[in-house]
Amino acid sequence: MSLLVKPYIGCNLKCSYCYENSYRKKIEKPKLDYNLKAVLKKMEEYKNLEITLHGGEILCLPHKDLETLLSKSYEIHKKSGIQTNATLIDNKKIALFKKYNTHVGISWDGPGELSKFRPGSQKVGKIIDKLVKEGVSVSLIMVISKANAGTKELRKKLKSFLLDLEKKGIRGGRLNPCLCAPRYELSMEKLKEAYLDLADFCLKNNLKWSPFCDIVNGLKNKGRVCHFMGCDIFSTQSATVVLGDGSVVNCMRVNQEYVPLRHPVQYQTRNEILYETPQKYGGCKDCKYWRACYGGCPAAAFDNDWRNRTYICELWKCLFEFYENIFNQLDIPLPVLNNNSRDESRVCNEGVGHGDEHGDHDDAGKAGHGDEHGDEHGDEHGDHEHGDEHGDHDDNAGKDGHGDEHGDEHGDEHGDC
Amino acid sequence: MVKNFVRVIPKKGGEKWPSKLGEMSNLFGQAEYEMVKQGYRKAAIIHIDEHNYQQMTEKMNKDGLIFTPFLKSGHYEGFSHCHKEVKPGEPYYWYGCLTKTYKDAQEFKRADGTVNGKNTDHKKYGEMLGYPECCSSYFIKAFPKNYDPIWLEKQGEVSGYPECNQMLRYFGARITSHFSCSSTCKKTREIGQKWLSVMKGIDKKLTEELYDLLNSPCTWNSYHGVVQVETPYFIGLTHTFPLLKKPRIINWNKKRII
Repeated sequence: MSLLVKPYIGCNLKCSYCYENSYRKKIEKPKLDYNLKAVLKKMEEYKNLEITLHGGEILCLPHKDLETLLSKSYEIHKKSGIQTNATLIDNKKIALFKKYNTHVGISWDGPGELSKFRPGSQKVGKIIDKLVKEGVSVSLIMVISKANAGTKELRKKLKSFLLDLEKKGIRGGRLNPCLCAPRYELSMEKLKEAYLDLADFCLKNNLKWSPFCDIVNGLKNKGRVCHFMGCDIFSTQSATVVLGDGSVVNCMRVNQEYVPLRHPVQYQTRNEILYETPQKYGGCKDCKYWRACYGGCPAAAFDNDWRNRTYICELWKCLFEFYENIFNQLDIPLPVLNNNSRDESRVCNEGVGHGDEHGDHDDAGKAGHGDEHGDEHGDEHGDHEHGDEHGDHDDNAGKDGHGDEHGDEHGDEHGDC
Repeated sequence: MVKNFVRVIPKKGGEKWPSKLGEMSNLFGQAEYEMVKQGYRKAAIIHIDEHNYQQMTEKMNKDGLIFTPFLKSGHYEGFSHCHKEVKPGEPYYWYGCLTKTYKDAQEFKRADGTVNGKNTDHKKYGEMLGYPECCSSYFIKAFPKNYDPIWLEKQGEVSGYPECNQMLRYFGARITSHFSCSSTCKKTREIGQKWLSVMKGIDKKLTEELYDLLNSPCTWNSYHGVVQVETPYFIGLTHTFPLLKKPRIINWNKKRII
């Protein structure tokens, strides 16, 4: 589980598909008006979580403030981490990274035209080289879009870049599909074609990129990225975000119109809905990959409604199938596919170290954390029983179980059904 | 389907709302009692926790009221018209009616399905609880189709009186105790005015806040067994009737009619 520290939501780049664009539009011009003291207090309060300095672009902060935050992370964990577009990295910042044992997660889509949707990021390749040379721990998040995977030629360049990275010692990171940005994301057919191609490539070259390793971990019921963990959008257990004013919110990927405070308790409501709702109505009923996937990320749900499964379900299914076939070839059983219970206990966190990290930053190479936190932060939060609501009316109360048992019987009788 | 639950997630700046809603729920509970005491309705359904029984019955005696217990129910999160069988040693509450006279108590008891062994006589029930006839008739028709009958024929932009707004009742906020037949039911509004005056007698400021909340724009979005209600201050989630194919969405009071 991660604490994403986002003191400043602004950015020096204007990436076309950035999910935070809607927040920036809402607040017109982001300002560096964070309350450092409040942010530090929250970092202390949530010190059981792995800390990543995030943004916007975290390196837009004045050097002194950046050092304060890195130093705080280091004080807590003897290491620190940032997620950055890397364009503002210079010698002074590299010195900070070395001083505070900083893992640098870089968001970049590859050299040249591959990063067409990230204007202004051309020099990142050289910066990566420099970081590696200086011995700074580096990983990458790449967004897979029309710019870097829309054609075979583009994918050839992308694969060549992945091999270049491997030579530099960067063997993994994230290849996240571009989502909720129709102008930039691949069509479902192209998406499947691209990811199957990349899955095969990573397999042959022994590269450990997400989502492939997460798909495998899903099939083995091991710790994996939050997309496949059964997310509660109001709690986003795998990512807790601290904003510049010290408020604690959910992962922010799942809300475009508003920023609710984070609910401290994780609910299983979405899992309950998806498990029982037929696939043709947006659910996951009878899906063989249910316990490996849990309906995907609610931020990319059908009709933008978290009560549906992800709209890239087809992509995940074809990848699950790809790896399932390999396991079958090797005669390795996959008990997760033969147990289709709702499984509220969800995945175990044994194994790969990544635990249930959030897909919004990359900490490849860092040790897993996995401390619980949510429940410590109060269990009140206004939840209460229904009490005596629903009018004073009663319909054979206590006799035929009207009310909550009505659903399945009457589901199709109502106008909407 | 979805387990019974109620959840309130405040928006930034709305941190006070979870506890405020609890206060509003208590205010309504007190008003239920007062509405009978002050003679605005013949009966109220109330639930008395086993531990408060003595204290509550003494208060009722003092106020000249009668509590007639119908049954014991275990505590659970869910619709009030369902009851959980109590096993020995488990905590429970008494479900029953509050009236001014023994005659009313017996009449109410005869109408109650949990006691009479038949179906609830909703017409009589509504009459004694002070519901408008139009709303009782609406409920009788609507409830068998959908046990969460918020203006079943409506979706999209809906304007109306706060007194008719039952969309936040699960979270503790409502002025009247019945489902109004329409968002602009004049009879409900009239009855609501009585409730408001009783509530103001208990806590004027809180009553005004309640009124403002129920008059504020909100979106009520019901789908797959969960209703999500978004107000300017918080998001509320609770279980509801499971619409399968598409959500039913009510945008409340975008254009106020008051």
